[in-house]
Amino acid sequence: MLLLLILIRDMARLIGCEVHRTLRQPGDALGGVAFFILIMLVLPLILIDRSNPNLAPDTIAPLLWLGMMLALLPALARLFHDDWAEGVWEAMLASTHPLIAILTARLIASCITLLIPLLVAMLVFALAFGIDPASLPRLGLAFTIGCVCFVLIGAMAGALSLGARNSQILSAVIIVPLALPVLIFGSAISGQAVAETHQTPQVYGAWQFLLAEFLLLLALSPIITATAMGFAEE
Amino acid sequence: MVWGKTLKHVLCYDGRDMATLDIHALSIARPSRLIIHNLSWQLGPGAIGLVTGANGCGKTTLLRCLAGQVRKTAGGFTTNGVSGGANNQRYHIGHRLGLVPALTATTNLQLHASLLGLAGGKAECGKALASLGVEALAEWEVRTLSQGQQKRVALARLGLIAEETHRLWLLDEPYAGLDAEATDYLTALITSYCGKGGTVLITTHSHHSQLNFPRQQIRRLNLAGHLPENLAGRLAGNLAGTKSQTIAANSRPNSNARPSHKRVA
Repeated sequence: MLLLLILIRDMARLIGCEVHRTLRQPGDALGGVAFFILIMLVLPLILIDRSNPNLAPDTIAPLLWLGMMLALLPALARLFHDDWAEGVWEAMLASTHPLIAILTARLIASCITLLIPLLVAMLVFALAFGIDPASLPRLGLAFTIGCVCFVLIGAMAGALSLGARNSQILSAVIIVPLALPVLIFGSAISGQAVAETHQTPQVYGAWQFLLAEFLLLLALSPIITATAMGFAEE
Repeated sequence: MVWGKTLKHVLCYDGRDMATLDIHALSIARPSRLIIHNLSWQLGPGAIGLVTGANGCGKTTLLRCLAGQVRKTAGGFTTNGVSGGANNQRYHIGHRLGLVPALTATTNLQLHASLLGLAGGKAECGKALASLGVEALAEWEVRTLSQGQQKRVALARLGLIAEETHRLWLLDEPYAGLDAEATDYLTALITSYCGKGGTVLITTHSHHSQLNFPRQQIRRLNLAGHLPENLAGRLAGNLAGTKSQTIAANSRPNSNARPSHKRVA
């Protein structure tokens, strides 16, 4: 029991250190938000039909999901890069705590620091695109689950590509295909919310697939990442 | 049986018996070359082990292997009787300092205290920083410090575990880049730790007389030229272009090879 309390205390402190680091060095998180804003401003210019200045409702959801993924990609591609280059991972591998616990704390910290600013920006743009405010909770939930999936995929890709030359490009190349199912099912769920229609069996199916992928990644990602980290350090 | 013994050491360790490193017939090979071959060496409690040798002779690799970061090819080692060592039986500081540049010196030490399962309050961190003479830099961001100051902050982590004398300290060239004052602080910290029964293994290019350690506590291991000549020759051939022979040489040590044991009492 005492060991568990010490573990929880230390993991909370690790999350605190990571949040502290982001606050002192907000470039990664704010850079993602700036990228998202840029995508949301530029892409509609390509998609808008000349005869109708409004964005077609069925393009809003995929646009938001694509923007989220592209905005997260640079930060995810270098998720562990700094820790590895600075030797912090060496210290984490030498910790007396289980590596899985440390990794989970690190991923929770990444979710907090990367996702909160992006989700706020997404909700603002969703309102700007004319989505009914009543649909926002459903939209927000789908995006939160989907973006946590992106972070879990990014962790695996980041760990697998560590130590390789051009590791960040390699990481991005691994992330994009793995993120496609999340994009597809997330867009299906959000498209329904945007269209303000009742939930159909297809949307329930999309929810089930998204949640199944989320749970699968939640179970496997820390294990795969921890194993890959050990190899990268060696 | 082995698992049971290891588990007993990890869970029931009470710190009464002292740190001992026992390396027996250890070999380490990389895909393209043999680095350590058939090395046997012991380090008793309270000893300061100095691993010396030319660049590239395998000092860092040996330390990283003892820290569990590099896989051995043959042989093995025990730390406090635990085969292969355990994270709560050792502490390694390598060439990469393990500091987060955006955080202050104190927050960095608190981060490392968390990884070690220690309380790591401000008082403990301040005391640890004082052991390397950098308590005045406690609230400075690490990125604003000079290289030497950063190294002192990194080494101040040792101050956090100075009372855990069962840990084997593995320090990779800790004196590189330190000024005379920092060298004295580090020597005092190591000497005090070993005086309490702790064991320290250091790689260095300095002569022990420059480091002012008590002579009776020093154990030296010179890795320069420890590879037998026949293996070194095969290594040279391998590096010249013929691959894949070296590992085989390592897994079947030649009985005619001159013994490479470097045991210094």
